[in-house]
Amino acid sequence: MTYRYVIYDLQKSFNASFDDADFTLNQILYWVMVVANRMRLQQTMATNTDLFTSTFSSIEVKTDSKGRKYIDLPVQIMDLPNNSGVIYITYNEETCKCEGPSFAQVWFQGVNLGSVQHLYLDEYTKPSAQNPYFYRIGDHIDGVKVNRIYLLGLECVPVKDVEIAVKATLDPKTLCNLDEDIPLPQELIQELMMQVLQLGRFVMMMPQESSNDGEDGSEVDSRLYANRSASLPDSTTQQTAQ
Amino acid sequence: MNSNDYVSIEHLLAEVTATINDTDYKKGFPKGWYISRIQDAMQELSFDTFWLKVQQDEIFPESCQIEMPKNTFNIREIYMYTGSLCNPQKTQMVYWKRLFNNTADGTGYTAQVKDDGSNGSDIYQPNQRVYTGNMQGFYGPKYYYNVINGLIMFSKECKGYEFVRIIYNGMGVENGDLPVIPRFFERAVVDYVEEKFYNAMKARDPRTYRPLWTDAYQKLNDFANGSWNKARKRIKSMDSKEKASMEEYISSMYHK
Repeated sequence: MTYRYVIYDLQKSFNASFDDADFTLNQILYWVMVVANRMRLQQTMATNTDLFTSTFSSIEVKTDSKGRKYIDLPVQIMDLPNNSGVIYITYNEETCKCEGPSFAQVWFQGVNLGSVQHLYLDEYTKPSAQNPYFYRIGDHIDGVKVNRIYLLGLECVPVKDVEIAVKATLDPKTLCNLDEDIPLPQELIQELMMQVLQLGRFVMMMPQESSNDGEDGSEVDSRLYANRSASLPDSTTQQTAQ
Repeated sequence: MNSNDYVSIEHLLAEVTATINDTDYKKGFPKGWYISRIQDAMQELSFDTFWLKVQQDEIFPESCQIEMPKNTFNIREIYMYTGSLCNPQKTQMVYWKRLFNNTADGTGYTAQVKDDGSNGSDIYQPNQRVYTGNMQGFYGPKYYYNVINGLIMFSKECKGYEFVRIIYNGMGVENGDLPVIPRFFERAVVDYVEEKFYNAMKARDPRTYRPLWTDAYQKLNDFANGSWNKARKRIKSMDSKEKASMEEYISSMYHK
């Protein structure tokens, strides 16, 4: 199912209910992406599917100012427990094809940054080129926005690039063609449409008095409170009844 | 029972991680953690069953002192011998002597009872010097050792031999090396790692993992059918041939 089908259908549905509303295609597209991202995450958690898996066969390994090796994530990834958004990172070299692909031999294991010290306590978990790890820095480094994966165990080994597989999220900025298929299983398209319609209806059904009219210093609308005392329960009656 | 058949780490990991649903190592424990638990299991089985034997052959040192190698415990046998390291000729058994502690080259030493039975002028310990001296046949060279702080100390007369062979029990491999697992122990090791996994997860999510841990603990430690006890029994039982030979020795011992 393409974006175009779904978005035009949604726009038609919105206009049928709210004929004076001005829903642009871009706005509906954005809602579709937002809802689709959440549904992809839920689907991944429920089925552990690889339907949303993307692989990158050669990501350059760089070194930061402190000599630590890292890669820049090529896409934004799902934030799953224990860095599960990264399915594997492996050396970009097929050493022995008879033994299966390289990612079935040596792969970088995910670890939380705070647990890195713990790895060095045990001879068996200590990071090394044969037993490498990765951790993620997804926010800022020295005030600069980054989306990096740091590699542990490669300190004394030259590695040019690595292969990586991730569960990627959808980025509305990168969609150029409405005739692309929506990356969701067909059976979830109906759910997607329902949720986008709910989102639009929620926006349109906001009470007038709760909306921001843009005026500064306007009087507080007291109509909500006008008959409040009248609607309070009559305590005297209650006591009598008891 | 003896065998020369072993299972690989990968073989065990495949079963353990599938059972606990962590085939992609995303539950918070890296692969190394599991291997470390496997090594723990082998170490515990070594202490419980003495199954692993380690042999050390050395040129006998001038100091009459040898450090126990890493990953060994429980000295089983000690022999002095002549010839060469690969071809022992004349051999001599070495015995353990309590409360013996040598220094330097073994000529100076302390012991509650010394070689000649003397004990200085101790008023509580009877002086056996005269008695020992009169026992002509027993007043010869004595080959003995004692262990203090991981140092095996030999009597000075052991220097009459060029080489020493010591058999220990091993604790498994050195920490950091890949564990070696006899096939006898496969069930016990798998169950041990599972139990340790659920035990660790119990602290993270007690409601989910406590019942799983209880099951795993029972499977491992059940007195009758637990895999740990089964492993102990298997490794300690005799080979059929050993049993048959032993029966023959015992049945004929009074008829010779």
